[in-house]
Amino acid sequence: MRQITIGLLMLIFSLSFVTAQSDDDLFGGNDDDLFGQSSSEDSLIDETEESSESLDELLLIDDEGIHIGGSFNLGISTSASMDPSDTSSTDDIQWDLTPDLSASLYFDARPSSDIRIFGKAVIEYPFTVQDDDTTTIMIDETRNFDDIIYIKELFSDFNVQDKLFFRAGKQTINWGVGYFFSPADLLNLTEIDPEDPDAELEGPLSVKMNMPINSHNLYLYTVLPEGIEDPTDLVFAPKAEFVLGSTEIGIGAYYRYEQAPAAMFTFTGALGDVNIFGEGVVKYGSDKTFVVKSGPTYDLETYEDKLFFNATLGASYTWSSEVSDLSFTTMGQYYFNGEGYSDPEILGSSAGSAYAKTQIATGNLSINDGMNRSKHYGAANFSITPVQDLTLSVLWIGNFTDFSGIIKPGLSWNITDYISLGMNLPYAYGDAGDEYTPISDNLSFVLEISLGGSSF
Amino acid sequence: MKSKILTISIVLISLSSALSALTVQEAQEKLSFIDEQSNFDDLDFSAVMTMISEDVETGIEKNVIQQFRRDSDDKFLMLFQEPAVQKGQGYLMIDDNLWFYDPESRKFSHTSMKDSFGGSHARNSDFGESSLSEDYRVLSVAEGKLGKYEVYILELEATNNEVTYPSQTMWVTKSNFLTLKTEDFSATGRLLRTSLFPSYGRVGDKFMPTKMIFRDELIEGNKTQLSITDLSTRDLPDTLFTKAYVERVNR
Repeated sequence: MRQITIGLLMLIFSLSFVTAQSDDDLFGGNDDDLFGQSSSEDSLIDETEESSESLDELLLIDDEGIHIGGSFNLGISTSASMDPSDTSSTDDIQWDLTPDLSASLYFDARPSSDIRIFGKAVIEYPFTVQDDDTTTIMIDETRNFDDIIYIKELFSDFNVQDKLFFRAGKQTINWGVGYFFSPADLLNLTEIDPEDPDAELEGPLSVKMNMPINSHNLYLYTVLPEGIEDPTDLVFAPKAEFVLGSTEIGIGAYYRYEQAPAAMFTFTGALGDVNIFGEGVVKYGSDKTFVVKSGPTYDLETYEDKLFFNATLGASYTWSSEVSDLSFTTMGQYYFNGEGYSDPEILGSSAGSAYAKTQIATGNLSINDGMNRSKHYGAANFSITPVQDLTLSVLWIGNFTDFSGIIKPGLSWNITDYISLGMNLPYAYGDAGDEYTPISDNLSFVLEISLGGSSF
Repeated sequence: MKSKILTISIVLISLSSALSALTVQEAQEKLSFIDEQSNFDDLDFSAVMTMISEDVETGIEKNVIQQFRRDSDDKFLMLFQEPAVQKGQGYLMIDDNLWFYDPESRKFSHTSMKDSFGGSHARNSDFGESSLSEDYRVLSVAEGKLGKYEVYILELEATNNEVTYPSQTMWVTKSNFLTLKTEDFSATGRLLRTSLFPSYGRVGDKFMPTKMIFRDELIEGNKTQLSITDLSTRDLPDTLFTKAYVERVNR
């Protein structure tokens, strides 16, 4: 009996060693250098001497005075486009090759913990502008010096008693929450490009005041539009962000003398694993000029005392496999454009289109007035990563009124850290004169290679 | 005489073993103890994390992250300092809301606590307040040794579907319930990740792992090692856990 008991004890001890065998090395078996040789559990614990430096303060000061950084990008893309309805000849295939060389450079100066000055400039190829001298090469008749080198951001951050935070200068403004469309973003100088929704937007010269109250935030933007000469040209845009449970709600307004005032509402939250977001905007009047039918001809019309409502609703979902690198992300968004035409044929018909072009040429109508001419739009993206460094995606953008749109399947492959390859096959579908097919439907093949891109 | 000594020894060993054994109920209570000794309920916490990820396909990548926590208010902030391409990116959590800040677009976006942290084998949920006692129930307790350490081996099952891993096995030291190792399983019971905690720092009466190793069990060779330095429990300003602070410190 005694032998059986001793045998059982030995068996139990042996089993406990076997179960932990694979990680024994880490805890004192053979990896003593890493895990110490003492069998005392106190060898696990270091009496930590707390850091004497305040990390949060350190982040706000740069002992070296100024930090310089930036990014470099070189891409070469070639594309072939054709009218898919005409397959009789390959002569109609349009070939194109475009180099894309750009770099950004920023400085970040933090002379003390309560102020910093930041600036970011971008330089883009080709480094040539339009010139009256006919001996020079004219790359692009519309290209100016500020298309080659321009200031993306230049601002200062400071605060009043750590309660009221200011950002003053040229800055990108974080205003709307939409991904493909953001009608609530009334302040940035550029709109989101649905085909490149992650691209950085260009913001205006403005002063942002931010007062955090627990997890909520109050903002007041004062925007100085380009060419401002009079205090009445100033734009005022207050906004409040409230956190309710796991939902963030934003309420804001936009006011500029003699322009359409607007009120906006945004929200972001989640339904289970699905992230949702939405925006609503009410404008009293529109800053757009509209083409209207006037009997057999056309005329221009503005609306200063009519309510316009724009809204968008979207959702996104990401799934990743527990057993492989497989993952996918899908995102969809609907956009109701209250400033769109009930009958977009007004601009789509040959007569309407010709009238609009004439008015643009004479300066009575801007190109922006003809953008987003429909009332209903949608966009969606589905991307899947079957293995690391390879992503397959399909992007769709559509006009629900004339049923034209773009569908763009593609793939991107990071061959090495500094070489990547992209291919996509955009197809613009619809009838001639529709928003996405002004001439005819069109199929393209685009091959892009990126070399040596990096940040520093 | 020899046989008497042997018998007494066996009885003592058995008694000792019986006395030190935990019931499932006691182990469940110990989860609260583990949470308490790793959470800084009344204190703010800050540290620098150096994360080295080894990937069999992409090689070695180093990240340096500043971490700030205020467990009493369910808040944390993580700011990427290295590499340059991620500098300025940040995760800000306030209650049930987690925002990811992208300095390129200057946008804050909601993200899930389950998401992979900065593309590493660590997860966002590895860095917040410990809530084992709320999120898991103990299914069984066993005794064993891990290297030179006497441990309890706890099998845990998730009580909700908000957690990253539906089940876990934990190796905790017998004397002070420090977690040495966890194995994280999928809903189907497949081993996904092994986490190792070979050293701790004592900050007051709290314990913080100062080295963590996350080993991907699906792709052999993939792992992430985290080292934590510059620990501090000095008070942090209220404004640190705000979007304004995240915007101020980024590039």
